[in-house]
Amino acid sequence: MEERNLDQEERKKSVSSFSSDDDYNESLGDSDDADDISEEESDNEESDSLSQETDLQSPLTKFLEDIQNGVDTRESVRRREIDDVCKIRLELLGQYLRSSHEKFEDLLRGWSLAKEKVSSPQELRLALRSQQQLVVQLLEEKKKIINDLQWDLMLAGDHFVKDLMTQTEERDQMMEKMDDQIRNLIERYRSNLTNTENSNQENNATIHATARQEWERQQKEFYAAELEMLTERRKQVTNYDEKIQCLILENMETQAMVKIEQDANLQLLVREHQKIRASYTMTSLKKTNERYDLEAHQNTRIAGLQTENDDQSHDPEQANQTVKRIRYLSKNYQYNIKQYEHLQGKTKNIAVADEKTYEEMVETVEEEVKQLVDKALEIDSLICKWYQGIPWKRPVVAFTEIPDETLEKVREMLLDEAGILVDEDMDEDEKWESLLTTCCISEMDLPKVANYFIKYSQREAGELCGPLGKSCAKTAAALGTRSTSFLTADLINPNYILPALKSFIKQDVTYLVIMGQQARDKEFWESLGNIVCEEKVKLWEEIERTLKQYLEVLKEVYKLTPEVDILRRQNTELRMQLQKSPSIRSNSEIMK
Amino acid sequence: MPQSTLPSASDSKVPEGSKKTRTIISEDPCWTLSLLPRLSDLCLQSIANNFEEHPLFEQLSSSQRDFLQQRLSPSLPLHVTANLIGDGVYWKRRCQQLWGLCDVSHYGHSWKRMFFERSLENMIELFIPDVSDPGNLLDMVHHCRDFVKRLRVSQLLTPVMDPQRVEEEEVASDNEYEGPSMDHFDFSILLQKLSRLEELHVVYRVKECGMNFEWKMFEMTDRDCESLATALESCKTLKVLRLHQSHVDDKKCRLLVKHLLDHPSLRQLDFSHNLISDKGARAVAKLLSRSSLQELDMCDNHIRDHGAKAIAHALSNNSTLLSLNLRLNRVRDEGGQALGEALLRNCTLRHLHLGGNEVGRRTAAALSEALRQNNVLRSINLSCNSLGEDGGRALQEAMCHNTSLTECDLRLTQVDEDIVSSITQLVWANQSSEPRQDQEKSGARREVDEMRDEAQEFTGQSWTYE
Repeated sequence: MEERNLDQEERKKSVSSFSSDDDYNESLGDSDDADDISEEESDNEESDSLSQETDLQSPLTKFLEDIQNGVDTRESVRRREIDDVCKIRLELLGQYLRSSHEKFEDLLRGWSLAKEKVSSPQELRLALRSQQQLVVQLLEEKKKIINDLQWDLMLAGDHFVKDLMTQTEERDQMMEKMDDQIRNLIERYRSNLTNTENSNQENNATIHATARQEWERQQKEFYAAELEMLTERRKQVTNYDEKIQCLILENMETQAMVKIEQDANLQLLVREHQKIRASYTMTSLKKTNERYDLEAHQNTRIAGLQTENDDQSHDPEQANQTVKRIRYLSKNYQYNIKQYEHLQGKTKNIAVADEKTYEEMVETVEEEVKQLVDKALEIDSLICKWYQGIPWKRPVVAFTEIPDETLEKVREMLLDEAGILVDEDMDEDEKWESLLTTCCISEMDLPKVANYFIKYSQREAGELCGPLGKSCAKTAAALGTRSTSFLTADLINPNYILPALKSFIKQDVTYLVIMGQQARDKEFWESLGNIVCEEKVKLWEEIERTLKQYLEVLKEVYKLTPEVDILRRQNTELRMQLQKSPSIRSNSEIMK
Repeated sequence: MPQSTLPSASDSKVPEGSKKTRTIISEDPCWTLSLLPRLSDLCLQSIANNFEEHPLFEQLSSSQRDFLQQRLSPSLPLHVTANLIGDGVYWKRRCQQLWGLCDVSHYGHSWKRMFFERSLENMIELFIPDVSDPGNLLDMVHHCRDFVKRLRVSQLLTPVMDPQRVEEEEVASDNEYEGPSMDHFDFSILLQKLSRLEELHVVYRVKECGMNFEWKMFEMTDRDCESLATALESCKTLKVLRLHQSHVDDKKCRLLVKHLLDHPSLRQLDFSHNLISDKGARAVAKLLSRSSLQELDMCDNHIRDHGAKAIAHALSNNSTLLSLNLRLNRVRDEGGQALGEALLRNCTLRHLHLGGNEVGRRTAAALSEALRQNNVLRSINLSCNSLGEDGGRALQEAMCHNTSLTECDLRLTQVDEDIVSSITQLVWANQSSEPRQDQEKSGARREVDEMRDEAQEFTGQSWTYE
């Protein structure tokens, strides 16, 4: 019974240890987790953790085994004790058995003795008494042994209870100890885990930091390289810029040189052209003169010849000669006309080149206009000072506009001069329209045309009087500025109308540029035109009237002088003609 | 039901005669078409609902089977489900419904096996002889015969006695011991039907008996023994038998062994914590020579030198036994010496436990002799013996020549500390020279596992860490 209880006790103990063992396994699981975390680490660390794990495990297993061993030894000791006690008890019982057996035999012997020997009742009673005593003795002995055994049993029971209590205490202590150990172990595992985690984190952080540093370093290097490249590139760009600038300058210089040369050539050509034209006009004049003379001569001759023909109606040879002569002359005439056209083409080319000079001229004209305005203003100021004694104020300068009368004039002139370009049979309006369509001009462009004509004529005039000097140009410019009050006929030589129209159509583009400039200058011009205000005009008119009276006198004087001049010139011309006419006459006489 | 899950759209009626166009007007803004259950799902659901009348499983595709595994009611009778539904979520649900948290790894990761094993165990553990109807149990056995591989019976109830009868019995017991039967569950009706049983763990005891304690509750009766022995003989697939803490004495042991002789598959026998002495040991020794046992556990019995000699004799001719546990017996030097001599001839035994056997230096000397020659023995446990200085020294010398021993327990053996530490050093050297992966589960660890199993059986529940 004792044994069994102890067995159970032991088992309970072992159970308690197993429960803690379970805990221990759980904590093992923790360590497995930790292992999982640190799995990625190097083999070294793994083996470290493994050894740590075994280090941590071994004390617990050892403790458990120690407990088991302890229990085993105690159990074996207990069993030995039980064996010994049993042996002693068995011996005791054996002794008792033997003694009681002896006594029993004594008893039996007593009975047989009594049977044999007893003869008297007294003896029998004695024998009975002794036998009874023996039985009592035997019973007492038995009782004693039973009491002993019961006493033993009681003692053993007490001992067992005590034993149980002590074992319970021990078990509780052990359980506490185990719990403590498990707690320690768990704590160690946890700390281990946190350590590994921390170290991992640190590792990660360091790796991260180094990677970042590396990254930054490489970034910096990259940036530096990029910057260097960029600066180099910038340098190159500036170098190239400079080079390009130099090249442009050189180019410009060379171009300027070429231009200057060309300009010089152009000037030469222009001069030549002018000379040629002059000579041409001279020749044409001579020719017209000649023709005129010839016609007059022919008329006389025809009359003469007719009379002669009447006289000598059969003179075919002379007639043939005359026909030949006429042919030759007509050929000559045609050649001259061709030459004239050629020259005209040349003139056109030159006109293109003259455009530039025109611009220059515009500048000079503007300057001169300004001067004129200044002059006018000066005059105004003088008038103010002299006639009124008022302090003078300088007005704002503006541009002028082409009036309708001028346009009308231009139209008429165009019709007259360019009418040959269209059908002769049309009436005036039709002609005008067809002219406009052929020339690709619209009615709206007329002011432009007029303006251009004015400019053109100014240029032509400038060209003509270019070599003559500044004064001539000045007058031309003055004419341009005062175009409003002048007739177009005065402005434009009718001879210039056609070429002007041509160049207008051709250079419409350049003209537009000019017009753009002119539009820009328009206000300026108007302001120039209105530089003298109405009141002042009235004042001036007054002054003019007074001056006109004076002028009348002067005019009379003046009128006489040009007449004299004209007469003188006519005289000289006639004289020259007279000088030439004999040679012509002689020529014709020779031809006859 | 599908009708109820249909949304309000079905309520808005399209007037008849107008164009037949399908329109779904969702009055509930949260409602979408995806809320509608698919027709196939509805079909499967109805299959699940009517599974008892019309079991339909084999014909389905694997995904549909998975669906059914999720939906089938866990309360379906076993005769429908047991052979039809394979291992899977359904059995997991049933397990968790019955026992909450479950560790399926102890059951070969098979939920079905777990369900049937635990159900059968529960039925056996709660079976009251003469009261419970064996029909239920036989039904259960009929269903689970193909799935049960292991039975771990942690209690066997005794027949109930009404108080009157108990009193009568007490009066009667003075005269005759044979009262009404105190026999436990009869395994003979069970084991021959379980065609795949491999492990049987039986304890003839009652858990949590409280104040109803009686020694008879913790005893295996003769008739129990007979029935069990015949049952074991009929179970030809058994590999592991554990019969511990069940008051097995020599007589019963001999009876059991007699029926286990020449068993075709038995590999592991555990008679620990019983009352077997020399005669039983002799029977076991005979079993050793007439079976292919690999593990024999006779710890905490009453085997003395004669029994040990018999076992040693069997061991010397044995070539299957790997582990022999004789802890807490009384082998003494005579038995120890015999075992040591047996080890000279045996070349298969790997683990020997002789802790708490009152062996002395003579045994140590004999074992030292064996260790010099034997290079198979991996672990030896001699703790709680009085080996003395001489024994320790002999072992130390022997260890110098041994390369196989990786565990040697010499605690509480009255051996000098220095010698113990030097032996431990040598053992460690052997341990480290052995490749790690080839290393067997260390003896201590194995012991710990065993003890945990034991504890589990003892308390009837698994311990969880809190």
